[in-house]
Amino acid sequence: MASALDLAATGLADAVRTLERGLADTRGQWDDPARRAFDQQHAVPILGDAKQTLTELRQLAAELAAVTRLLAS
Amino acid sequence: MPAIRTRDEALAAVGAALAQWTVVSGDVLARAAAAVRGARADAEAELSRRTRRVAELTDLLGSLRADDSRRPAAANDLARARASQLAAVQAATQVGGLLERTAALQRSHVRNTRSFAEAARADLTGRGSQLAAYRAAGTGAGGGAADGPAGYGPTGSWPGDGPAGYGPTGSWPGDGPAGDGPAGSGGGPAVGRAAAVSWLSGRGLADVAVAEAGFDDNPIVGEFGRDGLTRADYRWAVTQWDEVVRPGLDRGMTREDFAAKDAARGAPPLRRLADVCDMFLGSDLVRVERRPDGTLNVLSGRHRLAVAHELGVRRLPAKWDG
Repeated sequence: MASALDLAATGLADAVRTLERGLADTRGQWDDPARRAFDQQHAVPILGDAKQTLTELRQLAAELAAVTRLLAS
Repeated sequence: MPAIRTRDEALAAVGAALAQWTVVSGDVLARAAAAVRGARADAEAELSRRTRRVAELTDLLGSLRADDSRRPAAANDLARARASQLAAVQAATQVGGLLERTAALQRSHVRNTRSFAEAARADLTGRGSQLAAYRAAGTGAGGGAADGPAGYGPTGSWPGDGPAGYGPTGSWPGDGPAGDGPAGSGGGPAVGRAAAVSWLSGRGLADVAVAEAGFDDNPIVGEFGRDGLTRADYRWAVTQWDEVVRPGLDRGMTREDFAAKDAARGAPPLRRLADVCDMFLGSDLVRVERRPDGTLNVLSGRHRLAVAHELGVRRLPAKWDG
């Protein structure tokens, strides 16, 4: 039961890394005050929300694993 | 990822990265919710099996005479079965709680990601339009053909730089001129997705992630709130903002619409939706700035942010200084 949620958490972690890389890769051609304003207004909150979601999903996966152990005991 | 050679391509790539994140993360959260639903089904099936086992052993024990030699073993089996059943009850209850939390996480993620990503894409669209208008006007160094990294404008920065570079502020959605998007975006009626985000970006505001807002260096002390407002007042207002007002603004409602609702239901002071609008979009905005070390400094709005954090509200509109 827990493994499916662990896989989801892993998938979300991959997606977060892809997003970070996707944003970073563009800085070579767009890195000026406007970009920094964009990052401050949009990219930083989006990444912050993404990482918080990932943290919560990992927590849920850990708790589900504990429930699974309880059921197997 | 294809090579990014121009700012146009950089803008498109940022937009693509955000779009991909929206799709992939939404899919992952949907799979997570499905996984927990499956876990609940498994837990409930196991609970049913163990409950049947308890019933069978109870019947068996009841059928045995007091002097039956099998009775002690059956009693032991029943005790173990009941303990096992209790564990299954606890597991099923816990999985039910996990399912609710997963569903809530999925809902908030969809809502936040859509809002954040739409605001970001609207910003990118505005910047792209500004770039096109700038080129069309022939004011960029090297004109329209100069599309390289240094070929845009005399300073290399975008027109309307910074968070306050957008349309009129202080008016409610629908009150101002139709073209309340970024300058150069072509104006026109504020409809659809553009209307959904214009109430935010049109005021030079952007969402702040509540979880980022720490103010340990300037904690809330003494009486909560100002002018006699209680924590309950704040909790009501923040809840109404997140669940009623903000979604309404996204749909194009105005402060006047909320005031009309207040009037229709005879809303008392401190329980008026129009006041909630003022609380977040009026003269006393939540104001934040990014410190050089990347942390968030809350200049104004600690009470609203603290209550939002308590309630699990993830974002509030804020004015970004600096």
